[in-house]
Amino acid sequence: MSQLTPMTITRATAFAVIAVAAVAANLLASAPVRAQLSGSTTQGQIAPIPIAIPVFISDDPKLGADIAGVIAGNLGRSGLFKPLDPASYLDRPGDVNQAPNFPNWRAIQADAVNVGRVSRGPDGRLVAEFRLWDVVNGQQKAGQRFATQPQNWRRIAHQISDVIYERMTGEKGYFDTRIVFVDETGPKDKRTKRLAIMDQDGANVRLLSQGKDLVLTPRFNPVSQEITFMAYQGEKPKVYIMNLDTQQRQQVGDFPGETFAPRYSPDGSRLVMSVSAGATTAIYEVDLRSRQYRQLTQTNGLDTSPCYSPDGRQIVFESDREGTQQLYIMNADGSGLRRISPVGDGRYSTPVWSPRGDYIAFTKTQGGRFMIGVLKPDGSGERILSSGFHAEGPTWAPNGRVLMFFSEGQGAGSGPKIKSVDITGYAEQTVATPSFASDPAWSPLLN
Amino acid sequence: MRLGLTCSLLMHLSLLVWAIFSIQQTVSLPVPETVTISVALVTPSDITRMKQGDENTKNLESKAAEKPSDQQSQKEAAKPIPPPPKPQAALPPPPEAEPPKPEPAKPEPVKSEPVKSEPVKPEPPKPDPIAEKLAEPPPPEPTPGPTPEQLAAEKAKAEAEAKAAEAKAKADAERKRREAEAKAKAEADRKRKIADAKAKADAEKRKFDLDKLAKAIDESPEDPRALLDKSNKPTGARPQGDSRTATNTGPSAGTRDGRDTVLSAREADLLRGMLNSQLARCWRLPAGGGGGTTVPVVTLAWNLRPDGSLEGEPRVVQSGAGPLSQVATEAAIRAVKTCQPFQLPPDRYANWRQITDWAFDPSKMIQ
Repeated sequence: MSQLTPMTITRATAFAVIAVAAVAANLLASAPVRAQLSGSTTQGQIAPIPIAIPVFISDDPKLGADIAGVIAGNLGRSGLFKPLDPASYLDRPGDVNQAPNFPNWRAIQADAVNVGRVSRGPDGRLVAEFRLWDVVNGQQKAGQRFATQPQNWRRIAHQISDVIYERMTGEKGYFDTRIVFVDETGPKDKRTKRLAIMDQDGANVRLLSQGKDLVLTPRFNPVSQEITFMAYQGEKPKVYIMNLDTQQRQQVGDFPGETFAPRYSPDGSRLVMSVSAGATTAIYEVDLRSRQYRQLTQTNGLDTSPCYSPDGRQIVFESDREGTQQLYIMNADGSGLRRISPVGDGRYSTPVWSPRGDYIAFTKTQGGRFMIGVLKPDGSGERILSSGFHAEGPTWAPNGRVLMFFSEGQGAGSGPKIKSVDITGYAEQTVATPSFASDPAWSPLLN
Repeated sequence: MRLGLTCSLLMHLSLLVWAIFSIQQTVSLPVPETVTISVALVTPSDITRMKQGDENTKNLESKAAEKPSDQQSQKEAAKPIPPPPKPQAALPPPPEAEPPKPEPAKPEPVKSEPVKSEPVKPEPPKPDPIAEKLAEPPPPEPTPGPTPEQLAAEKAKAEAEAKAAEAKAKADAERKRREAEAKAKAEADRKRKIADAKAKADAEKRKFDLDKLAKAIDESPEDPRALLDKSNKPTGARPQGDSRTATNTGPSAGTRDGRDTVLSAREADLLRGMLNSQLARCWRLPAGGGGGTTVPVVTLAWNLRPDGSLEGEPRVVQSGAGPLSQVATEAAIRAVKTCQPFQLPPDRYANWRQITDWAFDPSKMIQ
């Protein structure tokens, strides 16, 4: 044995070595020279997100369907979503706490499915909860629960819409907001203009004035339920502020001349507006608490439509000081004036700074046409989003990516309607209003 | 006994492991060439190669000039233009740079090699006599084709006579030479090996005994093997060599298992284009993808199986922070997932198996 052992060892070792070597060699040989591919895709489909919003599970089928309907309407109008036809659904969720059957939703090409339930709590309040699911990855993307008074069910739907919107697009939502606008009724040569307010989707319209006086350019206070607007008192336009809850109005300042085109500062503590004196109109700032004011511009012409930057440090306005209406920016104290609108034969007016700060929306007239567009605060990157026979008065959604404005068609029976458009120029559509409507102003988020 | 047992176990184990790996390997092999696709793919790269092999192309010249030894051997064109060292940056021909060892048998290169690159002048004489005699008897295993032999024969006859003395140095001397050559030159063409083998044979032939010659070859297989080994080592790293030759084009280009491991710029472009066109259909952004001034660019990496389906999850190589980037990342991942299986040429699997970084950049779509 003692003699055999070494023999065995050597033989076995040899075999082992050979085997190991073979394996190693095999490994080495089989390791392919791998080319590594890299590249990029710069063109994709710009298309709305297909989303399924089944009827909310509820003891009250109508309420469940209504909430799902409002959400689908909100998302669809945004232009960024394509709510899928409920008739195409292969599945009907039965439990909000259970993951949906993803293959059934994949089959109808949904990117996401929103499963919700609404019920009445013991205290009579509505309780709604939902879960948003990523169909492709099979993961929950969001889930939340809301409770409110039954009459506020639309707001629940709007808030759920906001959550879905934010989670799916990366942008803040804007559905739980309201629009104040000028409601126009009557024949074209004798219109009755009344101040009105509605939900962002056109529901819950409420009048704020009775049409005795002409009202124009309502603007929201960014931090409270308060608006400012211009109304004619006799022959002279004056600036007012109004509390939306009490509907009490109050004139701002005691200027001898006309005052118009008011707008709040971002913190809601000040107004900027135009004050005319003789042949010239300058921009003034009014402190709403102390009622003290100061003149910000010196001009021989007309300076108007002032608007603060979101940080409150700058003001953009329009002026004809160089002959035609153009856009200018100055510091909030009136210094550092500079023109930003491009040189050309276009006229620019009604500048509005985006709540995001990245763009300034404007009305442009050129060659007899009206255009709504945006440009960057340095004057570059002008982009026209909409044009028509008459379009004017852009206002930003609080997320800075959707604009409303009003436009008017040609013809005797035509009147102004409120339109909305995405900042990229997509998804232009008309906002439902009871009658003709103009001068929309978008509120901040209600929460 | 125990030792024996353990050894036996060890052996079996290693054999098993080996078997597993070989099986894996064979699994990937069975995917040969899909006719239509391979045609489409092969054509452009073939064109590239043909160009490379063309004497008249400037690229070739410049390349040859840059890397005299390697390229000369692989391209006929190289011979006539031996010295001019042009320091051209030229095109991106890097992959070819390596010498194509597996070349069948081109007579010219044989000549050129010794002339230019060889500092040591041992070879030239050998080949002729052997070739002649070998041509008649079929025994010599390694000889690839008759052409090289004949050509070599023509030249070498005279030389062989004159250098009979050298030849006598026999196998040892020759081996040394070969080694020296191999070291000196990165090239390890079969031709050379053949020539060497023949040279050995020649030495024996001096005795004018064909039988002996055959015997010698049979008995001393070390020499040819050694030669082969040497050649294998340097070339082994780059099996692409054969696909480089202008003569070897079409679906046969590449390694024996049908994989062309050369990822030429053109082919990479082609694959990139195929991937891109498919991803562009699947990559969906909600109108404008934000529409703001910040554009989230997401870079992903993923692996693919031979059938084009996704292997594992896509990995995020680069992405920004914030909800916008999160959405962009999800959109990119969704694009990859919904797009798979990708339609890519199976015979190029090695080249698209790993997507190491793929950027999804919406900036051009937005403005």
